[in-house]
Amino acid sequence: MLNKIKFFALIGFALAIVLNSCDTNSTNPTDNEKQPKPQPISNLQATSIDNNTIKLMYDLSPSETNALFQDYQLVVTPGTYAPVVITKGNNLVQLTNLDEGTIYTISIVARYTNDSVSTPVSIEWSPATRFELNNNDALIRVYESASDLGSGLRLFSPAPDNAPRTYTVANGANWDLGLYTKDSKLVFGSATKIDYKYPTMPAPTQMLDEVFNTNSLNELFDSNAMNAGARDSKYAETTFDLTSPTYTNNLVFYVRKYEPGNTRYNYAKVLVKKNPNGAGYLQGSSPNRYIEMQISYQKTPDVPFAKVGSNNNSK
Amino acid sequence: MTKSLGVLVLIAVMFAVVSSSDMYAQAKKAPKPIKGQVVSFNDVVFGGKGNITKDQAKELAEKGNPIVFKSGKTIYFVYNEDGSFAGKKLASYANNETVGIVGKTKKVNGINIIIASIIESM
Repeated sequence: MLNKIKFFALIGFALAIVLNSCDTNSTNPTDNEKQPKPQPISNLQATSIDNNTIKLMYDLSPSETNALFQDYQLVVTPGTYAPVVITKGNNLVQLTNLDEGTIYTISIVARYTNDSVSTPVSIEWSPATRFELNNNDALIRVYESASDLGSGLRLFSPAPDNAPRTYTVANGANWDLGLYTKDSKLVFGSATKIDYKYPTMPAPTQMLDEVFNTNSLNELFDSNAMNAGARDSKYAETTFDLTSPTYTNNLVFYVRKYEPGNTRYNYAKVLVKKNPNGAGYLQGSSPNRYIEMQISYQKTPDVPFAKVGSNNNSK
Repeated sequence: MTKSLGVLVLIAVMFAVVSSSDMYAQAKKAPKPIKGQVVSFNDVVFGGKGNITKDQAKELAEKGNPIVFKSGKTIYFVYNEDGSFAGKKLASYANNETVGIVGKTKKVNGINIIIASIIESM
């Protein structure tokens, strides 16, 4: 009998210890669940400003109206970047001192004053070199077909140029993109698809089948890589009719090509400026009218600005 | 009689206006670029070919040495449309084998001048 009492007492003691320890372990999660937690930002997008700067834009957390809302915190990896605190209400952030070709993961959380944070929202991006001038430190232009000046553009001419460069048909082998204005046309696109008699055919340059109307490259935010998902199959050697009535603003074309000797694409965004003094895109006086461009060029192959995630979307 | 004279005068004036417009259009028509190279004037003066790189040309231009344009055997001093000397601007084109300049040419006291509206590599 005494043994039975001892046995049950021992069982009871053991149960008490187990229950007690269970109580102790479950206290924190229960407390955490009770803590109000901010909702995350949404629609995180980025654009490259220059070879060491990118700009981010997003929709603010709906929890900003909550009295507990504190701020946002941004973390950049890889590298030794200190976390950036973003004040409430600010949905534009510019990050500098980055390296072109390095794909950075940028994560943003919303924070409450009670130390709770939202689910992080991330994007992967790399800065790219911005060219507003050509190899001659002049504005980037290609000229109409009737002009003796060059109608073709090389997106990036290596050293000693280290910049975009305009070429005539005689140097057609160097063309990536070209302008064609014969028969009252205004055609811009892959050099291989433009009807010039090149002494040597240029190499293929592909363009995305989508055109972006925008004020500037700085305003062309994207949440996806330039080759993300279905986009990848929508690049082709092609041309665009710039007289299309749907084009009313500056235009941006997504372009990619193999630089000589490479088998991976270099990506670029080419902005064609609308004529500031009139309709359309041709500027200047005949027969030397021209279109003017700006170029964002990623010098590292296979870095389509944003990186394609495992789900074929930018993270 | 007076009326028909008036009509004749009007026709004559209209003809004159149309003719002068044509002449004006012809004068502006089809400016072709002059093709050549960017060279150092000092080097040419001292018997050299004047060939320079962009960096050299910019350095020379900064020091006040004239950077000029050579087309065939003719040396041109290039000016901007605002009347300023375009040597520094021209220096940026020195790496190109061939440069085209669209503009008006003049000869002033035996010196060849181009007033450039467009400078472009070719």
